[in-house]
Amino acid sequence: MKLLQLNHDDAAGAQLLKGTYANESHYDQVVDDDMVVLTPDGDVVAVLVEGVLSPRARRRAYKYLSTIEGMPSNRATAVYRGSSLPRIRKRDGSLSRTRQVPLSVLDMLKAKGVRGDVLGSLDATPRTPRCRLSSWSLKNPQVLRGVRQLAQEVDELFKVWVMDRYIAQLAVVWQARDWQLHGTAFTTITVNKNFRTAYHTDKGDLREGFSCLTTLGRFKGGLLVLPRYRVAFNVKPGSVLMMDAHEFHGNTQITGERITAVLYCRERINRCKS
Amino acid sequence: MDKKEMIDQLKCKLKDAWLRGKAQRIEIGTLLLELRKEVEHGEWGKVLAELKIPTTTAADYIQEASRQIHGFRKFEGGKVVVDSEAAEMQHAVASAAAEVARDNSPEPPANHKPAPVIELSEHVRVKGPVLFCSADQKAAFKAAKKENPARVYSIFQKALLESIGGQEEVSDETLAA
Repeated sequence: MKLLQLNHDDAAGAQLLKGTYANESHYDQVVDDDMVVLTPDGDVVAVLVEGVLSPRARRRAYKYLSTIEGMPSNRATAVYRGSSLPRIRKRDGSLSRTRQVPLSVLDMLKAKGVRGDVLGSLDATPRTPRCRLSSWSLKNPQVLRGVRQLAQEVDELFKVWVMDRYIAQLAVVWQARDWQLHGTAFTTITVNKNFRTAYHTDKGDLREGFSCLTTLGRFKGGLLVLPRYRVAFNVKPGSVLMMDAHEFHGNTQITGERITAVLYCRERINRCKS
Repeated sequence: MDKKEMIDQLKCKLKDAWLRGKAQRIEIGTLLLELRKEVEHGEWGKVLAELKIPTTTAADYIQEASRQIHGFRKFEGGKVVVDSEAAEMQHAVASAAAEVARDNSPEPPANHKPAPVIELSEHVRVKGPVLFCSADQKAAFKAAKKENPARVYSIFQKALLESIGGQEEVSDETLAA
Protein backbone atom coordinates (compact mmCIF):
# COMPACT_ATOMS: atom_id res chain seq x y z
CA MET A 1 0.00 0.00 0.00
CA LYS A 2 1.34 3.42 -1.02
CA LEU A 3 0.57 6.81 0.39
CA LEU A 4 -0.33 9.79 -1.77
CA GLN A 5 -0.48 13.26 -0.30
CA LEU A 6 -2.36 15.61 -2.59
CA ASN A 7 -1.14 19.16 -2.99
CA HIS A 8 -4.11 20.75 -4.74
CA ASP A 9 -7.21 21.89 -2.87
CA ASP A 10 -9.87 24.03 -4.57
CA ALA A 11 -13.25 23.53 -2.93
CA ALA A 12 -14.79 26.62 -4.58
CA GLY A 13 -13.64 25.51 -8.03
CA ALA A 14 -15.15 22.06 -7.49
CA GLN A 15 -18.45 23.63 -6.42
CA LEU A 16 -18.61 25.48 -9.75
CA LEU A 17 -18.48 22.16 -11.60
CA LYS A 18 -21.57 20.83 -9.80
CA GLY A 19 -23.90 19.02 -12.21
CA THR A 20 -21.41 18.84 -15.09
CA TYR A 21 -19.49 15.88 -16.44
CA ALA A 22 -15.94 15.10 -15.41
CA ASN A 23 -13.30 15.20 -18.08
CA GLU A 24 -9.57 14.74 -18.31
CA SER A 25 -8.83 18.40 -17.74
CA HIS A 26 -10.16 18.07 -14.19
CA TYR A 27 -7.45 15.79 -12.82
CA ASP A 28 -3.69 15.60 -12.80
CA GLN A 29 -3.15 12.09 -11.51
CA VAL A 30 -4.94 8.79 -11.81
CA VAL A 31 -4.85 6.37 -8.90
CA ASP A 32 -5.26 2.79 -10.08
CA ASP A 33 -3.18 0.88 -7.56
CA ASP A 34 -3.38 0.22 -3.81
CA MET A 35 -3.22 3.70 -2.35
CA VAL A 36 -4.16 5.71 0.72
CA VAL A 37 -4.90 9.24 -0.49
CA LEU A 38 -4.49 12.16 1.88
CA THR A 39 -5.70 15.73 1.51
CA PRO A 40 -3.14 18.56 1.78
CA ASP A 41 -4.28 18.80 5.43
CA GLY A 42 -3.38 15.17 6.02
CA ASP A 43 -6.90 13.72 6.30
CA VAL A 44 -7.70 10.45 4.57
CA VAL A 45 -9.99 11.26 1.66
CA ALA A 46 -9.95 7.87 -0.05
CA VAL A 47 -8.40 4.43 0.08
CA LEU A 48 -8.22 2.26 -3.01
CA VAL A 49 -7.61 -1.45 -2.58
CA GLU A 50 -6.96 -3.22 -5.83
CA GLY A 51 -8.47 -6.59 -6.86
CA VAL A 52 -9.45 -7.85 -3.42
CA LEU A 53 -12.96 -9.16 -3.80
CA SER A 54 -13.30 -12.90 -4.32
CA PRO A 55 -14.42 -14.05 -7.78
CA ARG A 56 -17.37 -15.86 -6.17
CA ALA A 57 -18.66 -12.72 -4.45
CA ARG A 58 -18.24 -10.75 -7.67
CA ARG A 59 -19.95 -13.37 -9.81
CA ARG A 60 -22.86 -13.70 -7.44
CA ALA A 61 -23.26 -9.95 -7.02
CA TYR A 62 -23.08 -9.43 -10.78
CA LYS A 63 -25.74 -12.09 -11.35
CA TYR A 64 -28.23 -10.22 -9.19
CA LEU A 65 -27.21 -6.59 -9.56
CA SER A 66 -27.24 -6.75 -13.35
CA THR A 67 -31.02 -7.30 -13.12
CA ILE A 68 -31.42 -3.69 -12.00
CA GLU A 69 -34.36 -1.98 -13.66
CA GLY A 70 -34.86 1.31 -11.77
CA MET A 71 -33.96 4.74 -13.09
CA PRO A 72 -32.21 7.57 -11.26
CA SER A 73 -35.25 9.83 -11.53
CA ASN A 74 -34.60 11.56 -8.20
CA ARG A 75 -30.89 12.15 -8.73
CA ALA A 76 -31.05 15.30 -10.82
CA THR A 77 -27.62 16.69 -9.90
CA ALA A 78 -25.98 13.37 -10.74
CA VAL A 79 -27.84 13.23 -14.05
CA TYR A 80 -26.91 16.71 -15.24
CA ARG A 81 -27.11 20.35 -14.26
CA GLY A 82 -30.63 21.79 -14.63
CA SER A 83 -32.38 18.43 -14.93
CA SER A 84 -34.49 18.92 -11.81
CA LEU A 85 -37.81 20.03 -13.26
CA PRO A 86 -41.47 20.06 -12.14
CA ARG A 87 -43.24 16.81 -12.93
CA ILE A 88 -46.79 16.57 -11.65
CA ARG A 89 -49.72 18.35 -13.22
CA LYS A 90 -52.28 19.75 -10.85
CA ARG A 91 -56.03 19.81 -11.55
CA ASP A 92 -55.85 23.34 -12.90
CA GLY A 93 -53.29 22.27 -15.50
CA SER A 94 -50.31 23.94 -13.85
CA LEU A 95 -47.26 22.00 -12.70
CA SER A 96 -46.61 21.20 -9.06
CA ARG A 97 -43.45 22.08 -7.18
CA THR A 98 -42.45 18.42 -6.96
CA ARG A 99 -39.38 17.99 -9.11
CA GLN A 100 -37.62 15.09 -10.80
CA VAL A 101 -35.51 14.31 -13.84
CA PRO A 102 -37.79 14.84 -16.88
CA LEU A 103 -39.09 11.75 -18.62
CA SER A 104 -37.52 12.71 -21.95
CA VAL A 105 -34.06 12.76 -20.30
CA LEU A 106 -34.78 9.49 -18.49
CA ASP A 107 -35.83 7.89 -21.77
CA MET A 108 -32.59 9.02 -23.36
CA LEU A 109 -30.59 7.55 -20.47
CA LYS A 110 -32.62 4.35 -20.57
CA ALA A 111 -31.83 3.92 -24.25
CA LYS A 112 -28.15 4.15 -23.32
CA GLY A 113 -28.61 1.35 -20.77
CA VAL A 114 -28.43 3.57 -17.70
CA ARG A 115 -30.07 2.20 -14.56
CA GLY A 116 -29.99 3.22 -10.92
CA ASP A 117 -31.70 1.94 -7.79
CA VAL A 118 -31.28 1.42 -4.08
CA LEU A 119 -30.98 -1.83 -2.19
CA GLY A 120 -31.40 -2.22 1.56
CA SER A 121 -32.82 0.11 4.18
CA LEU A 122 -34.03 3.67 3.83
CA ASP A 123 -34.52 6.09 6.67
CA ALA A 124 -37.58 8.24 7.25
CA THR A 125 -38.10 11.37 5.17
CA PRO A 126 -40.77 14.07 5.49
CA ARG A 127 -42.61 12.50 2.56
CA THR A 128 -42.28 8.90 3.80
CA PRO A 129 -42.16 9.27 7.59
CA ARG A 130 -41.09 5.71 8.35
CA CYS A 131 -38.04 3.58 7.87
CA ARG A 132 -38.45 0.83 5.33
CA LEU A 133 -36.71 -1.49 2.92
CA SER A 134 -36.31 -0.09 -0.58
CA SER A 135 -38.82 -1.06 -3.21
CA TRP A 136 -36.23 -3.12 -5.10
CA SER A 137 -35.37 -5.09 -1.95
CA LEU A 138 -39.01 -5.80 -1.20
CA LYS A 139 -39.87 -6.86 -4.72
CA ASN A 140 -36.69 -8.88 -5.23
CA PRO A 141 -35.45 -10.16 -1.85
CA GLN A 142 -33.16 -12.61 -3.65
CA VAL A 143 -31.09 -9.63 -4.88
CA LEU A 144 -30.57 -8.48 -1.32
CA ARG A 145 -29.51 -11.99 -0.35
CA GLY A 146 -27.27 -12.21 -3.41
CA VAL A 147 -25.03 -9.34 -2.28
CA ARG A 148 -24.39 -10.78 1.18
CA GLN A 149 -20.87 -12.04 0.45
CA LEU A 150 -19.91 -8.87 -1.40
CA ALA A 151 -21.13 -6.69 1.48
CA GLN A 152 -19.28 -8.79 4.05
CA GLU A 153 -16.01 -8.75 2.11
CA VAL A 154 -16.21 -4.97 1.63
CA ASP A 155 -17.01 -4.62 5.33
CA GLU A 156 -13.84 -6.53 6.26
CA LEU A 157 -11.75 -4.20 4.09
CA PHE A 158 -13.40 -1.13 5.54
CA LYS A 159 -12.64 -2.39 9.05
CA VAL A 160 -8.98 -2.95 8.24
CA TRP A 161 -8.20 0.16 6.24
CA VAL A 162 -10.29 2.98 7.72
CA MET A 163 -10.89 1.78 11.24
CA ASP A 164 -11.86 5.13 12.82
CA ARG A 165 -14.61 5.75 10.30
CA TYR A 166 -15.65 2.10 10.51
CA ILE A 167 -16.14 2.30 14.28
CA ALA A 168 -18.14 5.55 14.00
CA GLN A 169 -20.34 3.98 11.33
CA LEU A 170 -20.81 0.71 13.16
CA ALA A 171 -21.83 2.58 16.31
CA VAL A 172 -24.68 4.18 14.37
CA VAL A 173 -25.69 0.94 12.66
CA TRP A 174 -25.82 -0.87 15.99
CA GLN A 175 -28.43 1.59 17.17
CA ALA A 176 -30.71 0.30 14.42
CA ARG A 177 -29.81 -3.36 14.12
CA ASP A 178 -33.06 -4.25 12.43
CA TRP A 179 -31.94 -2.21 9.46
CA GLN A 180 -28.35 -3.48 9.35
CA LEU A 181 -27.23 -5.04 6.09
CA HIS A 182 -26.04 -8.64 6.59
CA GLY A 183 -24.31 -7.83 9.89
CA THR A 184 -22.01 -5.21 8.34
CA ALA A 185 -21.41 -1.52 9.01
CA PHE A 186 -23.70 -0.69 6.10
CA THR A 187 -27.43 -0.27 5.79
CA THR A 188 -27.87 0.55 2.12
CA ILE A 189 -26.39 -0.07 -1.32
CA THR A 190 -26.86 2.35 -4.20
CA VAL A 191 -26.43 0.51 -7.48
CA ASN A 192 -25.77 2.22 -10.80
CA LYS A 193 -25.43 0.62 -14.18
CA ASN A 194 -23.66 2.49 -16.99
CA PHE A 195 -24.51 5.69 -15.15
CA ARG A 196 -22.01 8.43 -15.87
CA THR A 197 -22.72 10.72 -12.96
CA ALA A 198 -22.20 14.44 -13.19
CA TYR A 199 -20.37 16.07 -10.27
CA HIS A 200 -22.44 15.66 -7.13
CA THR A 201 -22.10 14.97 -3.44
CA ASP A 202 -23.92 12.07 -1.81
CA LYS A 203 -26.77 13.05 0.44
CA GLY A 204 -28.28 11.02 3.25
CA ASP A 205 -25.20 9.01 4.14
CA LEU A 206 -23.45 9.23 7.46
CA ARG A 207 -21.03 12.19 7.69
CA GLU A 208 -18.70 10.39 10.07
CA GLY A 209 -18.64 7.27 7.92
CA PHE A 210 -17.22 6.40 4.51
CA SER A 211 -18.86 5.17 1.33
CA CYS A 212 -17.39 2.00 -0.11
CA LEU A 213 -17.58 1.65 -3.86
CA THR A 214 -16.90 -1.38 -5.96
CA THR A 215 -17.43 -2.07 -9.64
CA LEU A 216 -18.58 -5.06 -11.66
CA GLY A 217 -18.77 -5.80 -15.38
CA ARG A 218 -16.40 -5.15 -18.27
CA PHE A 219 -15.77 -1.57 -19.16
CA LYS A 220 -13.29 1.13 -20.02
CA GLY A 221 -13.18 4.65 -18.65
CA GLY A 222 -15.57 5.60 -15.88
CA LEU A 223 -12.85 7.15 -13.76
CA LEU A 224 -14.14 8.65 -10.55
CA VAL A 225 -12.83 12.21 -10.35
CA LEU A 226 -12.50 14.39 -7.27
CA PRO A 227 -12.04 17.83 -8.89
CA ARG A 228 -11.31 19.54 -5.58
CA TYR A 229 -8.03 17.61 -5.31
CA ARG A 230 -7.54 17.07 -9.07
CA VAL A 231 -7.30 13.33 -8.61
CA ALA A 232 -9.08 10.46 -10.38
CA PHE A 233 -9.57 6.85 -9.32
CA ASN A 234 -9.70 3.92 -11.66
CA VAL A 235 -11.80 1.43 -9.74
CA LYS A 236 -11.42 -1.81 -11.66
CA PRO A 237 -13.82 -4.74 -11.16
CA GLY A 238 -13.04 -6.42 -7.86
CA SER A 239 -11.34 -3.34 -6.40
CA VAL A 240 -12.82 -1.34 -3.57
CA LEU A 241 -12.65 2.42 -3.14
CA MET A 242 -13.44 3.76 0.31
CA MET A 243 -14.00 7.49 0.11
CA ASP A 244 -15.63 10.54 1.59
CA ALA A 245 -18.62 10.86 -0.72
CA HIS A 246 -19.41 14.32 0.66
CA GLU A 247 -16.73 15.69 -1.65
CA PHE A 248 -17.84 16.49 -5.20
CA HIS A 249 -17.27 13.49 -7.43
CA GLY A 250 -18.30 12.43 -10.91
CA ASN A 251 -17.37 10.02 -13.69
CA THR A 252 -15.64 10.28 -17.01
CA GLN A 253 -17.11 8.65 -20.09
CA ILE A 254 -17.86 4.91 -19.84
CA THR A 255 -17.63 2.31 -22.58
CA GLY A 256 -18.88 -1.21 -21.96
CA GLU A 257 -20.97 -2.37 -19.03
CA ARG A 258 -20.12 -0.85 -15.67
CA ILE A 259 -22.13 -1.68 -12.56
CA THR A 260 -21.19 0.14 -9.38
CA ALA A 261 -22.32 -0.76 -5.89
CA VAL A 262 -21.90 1.96 -3.27
CA LEU A 263 -22.27 0.62 0.26
CA TYR A 264 -22.96 3.11 3.03
CA CYS A 265 -24.92 3.86 6.17
CA ARG A 266 -27.99 6.11 6.06
CA GLU A 267 -27.50 9.16 8.24
CA ARG A 268 -30.75 8.95 10.19
CA ILE A 269 -31.08 5.19 10.38
CA ASN A 270 -30.51 5.28 14.15
CA ARG A 271 -33.77 7.20 14.54
CA CYS A 272 -35.70 4.26 13.17
CA LYS A 273 -37.83 2.27 15.53
CA SER A 274 -37.47 -1.49 15.50
CA MET B 1 -18.63 37.93 -55.12
CA ASP B 2 -16.10 40.42 -53.80
CA LYS B 3 -15.36 40.91 -50.16
CA LYS B 4 -17.47 44.05 -49.75
CA GLU B 5 -20.53 42.36 -51.25
CA MET B 6 -20.03 39.38 -48.96
CA ILE B 7 -19.81 41.60 -45.90
CA ASP B 8 -22.95 43.50 -46.95
CA GLN B 9 -24.82 40.26 -47.50
CA LEU B 10 -23.81 38.93 -44.10
CA LYS B 11 -24.87 42.22 -42.51
CA CYS B 12 -28.31 41.98 -44.13
CA LYS B 13 -28.73 38.39 -42.93
CA LEU B 14 -27.66 39.46 -39.46
CA LYS B 15 -30.20 42.27 -39.32
CA ASP B 16 -32.90 39.83 -40.41
CA ALA B 17 -31.89 37.21 -37.82
CA TRP B 18 -31.62 39.87 -35.10
CA LEU B 19 -35.23 40.87 -35.65
CA ARG B 20 -36.44 37.30 -35.22
CA GLY B 21 -35.33 37.23 -31.57
CA LYS B 22 -34.08 34.71 -29.07
CA ALA B 23 -34.57 31.53 -31.06
CA GLN B 24 -32.13 32.82 -33.63
CA ARG B 25 -29.21 33.35 -31.26
CA ILE B 26 -27.27 30.47 -32.69
CA GLU B 27 -27.87 31.66 -36.23
CA ILE B 28 -26.75 35.14 -35.24
CA GLY B 29 -23.69 33.71 -33.53
CA THR B 30 -22.78 31.68 -36.61
CA LEU B 31 -23.19 34.72 -38.85
CA LEU B 32 -21.12 36.81 -36.48
CA LEU B 33 -18.40 34.17 -36.56
CA GLU B 34 -18.39 34.21 -40.36
CA LEU B 35 -18.46 37.99 -40.45
CA ARG B 36 -15.59 38.27 -37.99
CA LYS B 37 -13.45 36.08 -40.24
CA GLU B 38 -13.99 38.48 -43.14
CA VAL B 39 -13.56 41.75 -41.27
CA GLU B 40 -10.10 43.34 -41.13
CA HIS B 41 -8.21 43.40 -37.86
CA GLY B 42 -9.35 46.38 -35.77
CA GLU B 43 -12.62 46.83 -37.67
CA TRP B 44 -14.76 44.40 -35.66
CA GLY B 45 -15.86 46.96 -33.06
CA LYS B 46 -16.92 49.38 -35.78
CA VAL B 47 -18.95 46.71 -37.58
CA LEU B 48 -20.76 45.82 -34.35
CA ALA B 49 -21.44 49.50 -33.67
CA GLU B 50 -22.83 49.83 -37.17
CA LEU B 51 -25.10 46.82 -36.60
CA LYS B 52 -26.03 48.19 -33.16
CA ILE B 53 -25.09 44.92 -31.47
CA PRO B 54 -23.39 45.32 -28.08
CA THR B 55 -19.91 43.75 -27.99
CA THR B 56 -20.68 41.53 -24.98
CA THR B 57 -23.93 40.30 -26.54
CA ALA B 58 -22.06 39.47 -29.72
CA ALA B 59 -19.46 37.58 -27.67
CA ASP B 60 -22.23 35.59 -25.94
CA TYR B 61 -23.86 34.69 -29.24
CA ILE B 62 -20.54 33.71 -30.75
CA GLN B 63 -19.82 31.51 -27.75
CA GLU B 64 -23.21 29.82 -28.02
CA ALA B 65 -22.80 29.21 -31.72
CA SER B 66 -19.27 28.00 -31.22
CA ARG B 67 -20.45 25.51 -28.59
CA GLN B 68 -23.12 24.32 -30.96
CA ILE B 69 -20.58 23.79 -33.71
CA HIS B 70 -17.63 22.39 -31.76
CA GLY B 71 -19.22 21.10 -28.55
CA PHE B 72 -17.83 22.15 -25.18
CA ARG B 73 -14.14 22.72 -25.27
CA LYS B 74 -11.96 23.18 -22.28
CA PHE B 75 -8.38 24.24 -22.71
CA GLU B 76 -6.19 23.03 -19.92
CA GLY B 77 -2.48 22.59 -20.28
CA GLY B 78 -2.72 22.67 -24.06
CA LYS B 79 -5.24 19.78 -24.15
CA VAL B 80 -8.54 20.21 -25.95
CA VAL B 81 -11.41 18.27 -24.43
CA VAL B 82 -14.53 17.76 -26.50
CA ASP B 83 -17.26 15.98 -24.59
CA SER B 84 -20.03 14.91 -26.93
CA GLU B 85 -22.04 13.29 -24.12
CA ALA B 86 -22.07 16.56 -22.19
CA ALA B 87 -23.31 18.47 -25.22
CA GLU B 88 -25.99 15.82 -25.82
CA MET B 89 -27.13 15.94 -22.22
CA GLN B 90 -27.20 19.74 -22.21
CA HIS B 91 -29.38 19.69 -25.27
CA ALA B 92 -31.75 17.10 -23.75
CA VAL B 93 -32.06 19.06 -20.49
CA ALA B 94 -32.62 22.35 -22.33
CA SER B 95 -35.37 20.76 -24.48
CA ALA B 96 -37.05 19.29 -21.40
CA ALA B 97 -36.88 22.66 -19.62
CA ALA B 98 -38.42 24.38 -22.65
CA GLU B 99 -41.17 21.74 -22.71
CA VAL B 100 -41.89 22.28 -19.04
CA ALA B 101 -42.00 26.05 -19.57
CA ARG B 102 -44.47 25.51 -22.40
CA ASP B 103 -46.54 23.07 -20.33
CA ASN B 104 -46.63 25.51 -17.44
CA SER B 105 -48.34 28.14 -19.57
CA PRO B 106 -51.98 28.95 -18.69
CA GLU B 107 -53.19 26.77 -21.56
CA PRO B 108 -52.97 23.10 -20.51
CA PRO B 109 -51.77 20.53 -23.09
CA ALA B 110 -54.22 18.60 -25.27
CA ASN B 111 -54.07 15.36 -23.27
CA HIS B 112 -54.85 17.11 -20.00
CA LYS B 113 -58.33 16.59 -18.53
CA PRO B 114 -59.55 19.95 -17.28
CA ALA B 115 -61.03 20.25 -13.82
CA PRO B 116 -64.83 20.30 -13.86
CA VAL B 117 -66.15 23.82 -14.27
CA ILE B 118 -68.28 24.92 -11.35
CA GLU B 119 -71.30 26.89 -12.52
CA LEU B 120 -71.94 29.83 -10.26
CA SER B 121 -75.53 30.11 -9.25
CA GLU B 122 -76.99 33.39 -8.17
CA HIS B 123 -76.14 32.57 -4.58
CA VAL B 124 -72.64 31.46 -3.78
CA ARG B 125 -71.31 30.23 -0.53
CA VAL B 126 -68.40 32.19 0.90
CA LYS B 127 -65.65 30.81 3.12
CA GLY B 128 -65.99 30.99 6.88
CA PRO B 129 -69.09 30.61 8.98
CA VAL B 130 -72.39 29.69 7.38
CA LEU B 131 -73.10 32.93 5.55
CA PHE B 132 -74.63 33.43 2.14
CA CYS B 133 -74.63 36.39 -0.20
CA SER B 134 -75.54 36.91 -3.81
CA ALA B 135 -72.93 36.96 -6.55
CA ASP B 136 -73.55 40.69 -7.09
CA GLN B 137 -73.08 41.36 -3.41
CA LYS B 138 -69.81 39.42 -3.41
CA ALA B 139 -68.52 41.35 -6.42
CA ALA B 140 -69.55 44.63 -4.80
CA PHE B 141 -67.80 43.59 -1.61
CA LYS B 142 -64.57 42.79 -3.45
CA ALA B 143 -64.63 46.09 -5.34
CA ALA B 144 -65.37 48.07 -2.22
CA LYS B 145 -62.61 46.26 -0.29
CA LYS B 146 -60.14 47.19 -2.96
CA GLU B 147 -61.19 50.83 -2.93
CA ASN B 148 -61.60 51.48 0.76
CA PRO B 149 -60.66 48.66 3.17
CA ALA B 150 -61.50 50.76 6.26
CA ARG B 151 -65.07 51.28 5.14
CA VAL B 152 -65.53 47.60 4.33
CA TYR B 153 -64.12 46.70 7.73
CA SER B 154 -66.69 48.93 9.44
CA ILE B 155 -69.51 47.41 7.35
CA PHE B 156 -68.27 43.94 8.18
CA GLN B 157 -68.19 44.85 11.88
CA LYS B 158 -71.79 46.07 11.68
CA ALA B 159 -72.84 42.87 9.88
CA LEU B 160 -71.11 40.79 12.50
CA LEU B 161 -72.87 42.66 15.28
CA GLU B 162 -76.11 42.11 13.42
CA SER B 163 -75.51 38.38 13.12
CA ILE B 164 -74.55 37.91 16.76
CA GLY B 165 -76.71 40.45 18.50
CA GLY B 166 -78.99 42.08 15.96
CA GLN B 167 -78.00 45.54 17.18
CA GLU B 168 -77.69 47.36 13.90
CA GLU B 169 -78.99 46.34 10.51
CA VAL B 170 -76.93 46.64 7.35
CA SER B 171 -79.04 47.37 4.32
CA ASP B 172 -78.41 45.81 0.92
CA GLU B 173 -77.89 49.30 -0.51
CA THR B 174 -74.99 49.92 1.91
CA LEU B 175 -73.33 46.67 0.90
CA ALA B 176 -73.88 47.27 -2.78
CA ALA B 177 -72.55 50.85 -2.59
